[in-house]
Amino acid sequence: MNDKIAEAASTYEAWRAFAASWGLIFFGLIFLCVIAYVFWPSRRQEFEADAQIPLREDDDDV
Amino acid sequence: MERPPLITKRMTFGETSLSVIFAALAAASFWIALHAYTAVYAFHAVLFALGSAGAVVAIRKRYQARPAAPAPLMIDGRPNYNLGPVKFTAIAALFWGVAGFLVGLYLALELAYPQFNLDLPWINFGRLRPLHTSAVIFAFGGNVLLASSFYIMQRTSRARIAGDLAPWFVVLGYNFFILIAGTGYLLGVTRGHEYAEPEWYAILWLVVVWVVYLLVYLFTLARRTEPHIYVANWFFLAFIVTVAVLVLGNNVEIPVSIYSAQSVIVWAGVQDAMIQWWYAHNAVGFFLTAGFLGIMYYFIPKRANRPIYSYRLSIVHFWSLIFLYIWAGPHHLHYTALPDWAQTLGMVFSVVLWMPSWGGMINGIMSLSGAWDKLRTDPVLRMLVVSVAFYGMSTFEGPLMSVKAVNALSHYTDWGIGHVHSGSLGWVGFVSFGALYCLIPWVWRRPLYSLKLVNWHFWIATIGIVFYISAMWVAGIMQGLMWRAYTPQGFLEYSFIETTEALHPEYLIRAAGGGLFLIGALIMVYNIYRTIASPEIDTAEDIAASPQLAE
Repeated sequence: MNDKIAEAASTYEAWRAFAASWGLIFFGLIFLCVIAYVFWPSRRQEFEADAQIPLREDDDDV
Repeated sequence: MERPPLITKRMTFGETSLSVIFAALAAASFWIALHAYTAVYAFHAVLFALGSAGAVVAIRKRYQARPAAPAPLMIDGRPNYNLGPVKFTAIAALFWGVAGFLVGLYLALELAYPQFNLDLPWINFGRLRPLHTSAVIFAFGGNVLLASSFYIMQRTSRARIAGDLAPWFVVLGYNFFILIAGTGYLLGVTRGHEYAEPEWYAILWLVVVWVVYLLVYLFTLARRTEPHIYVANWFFLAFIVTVAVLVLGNNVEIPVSIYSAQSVIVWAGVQDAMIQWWYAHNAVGFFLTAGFLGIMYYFIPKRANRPIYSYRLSIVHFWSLIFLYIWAGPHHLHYTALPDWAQTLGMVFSVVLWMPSWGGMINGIMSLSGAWDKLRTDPVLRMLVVSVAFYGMSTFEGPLMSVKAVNALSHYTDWGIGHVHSGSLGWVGFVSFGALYCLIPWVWRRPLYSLKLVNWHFWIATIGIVFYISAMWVAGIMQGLMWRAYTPQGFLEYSFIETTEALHPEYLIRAAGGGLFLIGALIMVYNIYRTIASPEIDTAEDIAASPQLAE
């Protein structure tokens, strides 16, 4: 029984360590990808046009 | 001479199959009502039976009244928006809002004067409190989210909402869930998990409604004529998907019997606590934040008639918010049996979360740059912008309170109540009021009855919030300090009842603040009633009168 508890504890510890290191790096990389995507200079005009979507309507202003 | 109809009228597949399903549900519910273990569960089964039978009748009546052809997707080259469900949920939001604020005020008075529970089990604090929280969060907030998401998804997709009966199923089904949950609390049916009180059968129903909501959203986006999916829709989608995951995750339970309202959760102890606060914190993050940010990203630009300050920032805001929020839940379990690393993780992510929150706040407020004068002249826009300021304030306070050293003082005290209310009254309440003040005149095609009354609503409610949160700051810090005060001999200086007595003046101020907030909401209801009762605007005149796009 004690062996099983020790094994479970080490599995738990291994997962915890994995999440705390590689998990962090993974999310960090995703964030950098988002930043690169958003601030890529050639997308500027596209995003500025997208921002106008709610204003490009003409029939609901009362 | 009338032209003969081009297609013969017959019930659609959806109308037929939904009628059959509801008839079966009515029969099954009736059967369960006859065999239920408790009277309360039998009452809920009867409600299900009546609701299902009512649905069959409603589908039949609607079929008889409708034309043979399905509603056109476009009329004269413009999308034929389906605004019926939007109107229904907008009114339902006002009704539940006032009901929820009223129950909140009553609870505040019960805390100040416990005699107010009148020794009746149905209105004691423990049963009324979940009624208040669910009424304001899920009933008021939920209906605001349904109304605004169904409106925004159609407008920004430039397409009619998908489904014929489906949108109605979502809005009526959701409100039926509220009815079951709310009456359950008063009659003593509860899972005892905060913000997750409804029992298994109500949750099962909610999950069906929610999946249809997601499908309606996705199919509407799929038929959009606008190539880009505007950022407000992203926030709404994150809200819908995450709430589905949260509800499923936090309700892994086995009913005692199909004839019983009770269920047993699969995991217990600290695992249950962790899942519960993962759920509850993300209910704040995705229900009360992501969904209402969707409202902010549409209605502030629309009302100010200027695009959002930075569309790029809105995308960074979106991704960082949804990736960070999901980890912050453990800060509700500081100094408990939860592993220490998990507590630290919750704290760190809460502090990091400050950045996307403030990024979003800056994005919302700076959208007014160059048009600040509108804050003076347009109280609706002012309400929207002040809501974002409250968002900034409470998302600064939250990370602060999640720091373990601060939490040692603030946890379990009224500071937490104050923090929740600066977020819910200031941010969620005001952004909802602002959105409804925009939405209702637009969908009913009538001018808002009185901007002056909006101004009164704004100021009365703002003063109410300030009373509320400042009273709770004082109460919470005093409570925390009294709990940790020791005599020189090492004994606790105050008994618990002494700390309760000390809070009485703050509780009165809090009740006064809540009362002012309720008065503001009643002014709004009157204003909206007069708006809807006024004659409709002529369409041609309306288009001519609409302001030109500022280039």
